[in-house]
Amino acid sequence: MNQRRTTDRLVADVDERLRLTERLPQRLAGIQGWAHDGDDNVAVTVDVHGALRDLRLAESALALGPEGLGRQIVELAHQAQQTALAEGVNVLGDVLGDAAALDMLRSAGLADRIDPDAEVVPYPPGVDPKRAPVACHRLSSCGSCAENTVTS
Amino acid sequence: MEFGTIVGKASVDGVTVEVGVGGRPRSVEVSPRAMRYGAAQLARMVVAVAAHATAKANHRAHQLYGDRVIDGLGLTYDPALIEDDFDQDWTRG
Repeated sequence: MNQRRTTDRLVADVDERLRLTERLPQRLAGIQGWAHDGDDNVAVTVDVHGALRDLRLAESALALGPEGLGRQIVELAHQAQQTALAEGVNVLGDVLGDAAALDMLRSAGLADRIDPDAEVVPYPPGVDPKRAPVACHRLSSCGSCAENTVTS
Repeated sequence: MEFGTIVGKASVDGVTVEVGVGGRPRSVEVSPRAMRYGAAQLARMVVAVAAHATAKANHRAHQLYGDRVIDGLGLTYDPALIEDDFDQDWTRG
């Protein structure tokens, strides 16, 4: 079996990566996360950086008092950003692969959002290790690449 | 100055918001007087003040790390929001 990647295959891989990264900044900028308190007195929307984009207060929220209301807004903004960050990692995972996305979730303190049963594809989209040999950054821990021969 | 210690702070009519770079709120302070504006008005004020605080934090990050680095992180800002004369009269609705 010929393990070399054909020129057509390499070009196709590059085209796929370019297609996926083309609108990445816009996609990340458009991500928002949302959180509200249990009584729905306070609802907060933030962007992926955590910046406050919208705040909805019911009149009943004023019963929290000045200090309580301020704390609630900050707390909910942080919760909302966790949701936005997780969505951002999903978007990046489309480009960088599941393994990189999982690393980002862990480094962002979002390990509790990782589904332990989810299938993990350890290589970036457009680069199928079963189709041609590639160097795998996960080394011996990566079962998907164990049978490949790196010819570079 | 470390990236994580950069903050922006803005205040108007009893609402003060302090944020980190990017706009993540560190504190939201509401005075007892501001509580009397009503929920909808107060919510609009907090968002507006937070936007000014965010612009200040991002502006500071641009000064320290350069436009190329900070723009690359998607941390842009409207220069008009970094001015301190944030003098809209919110009490008129």
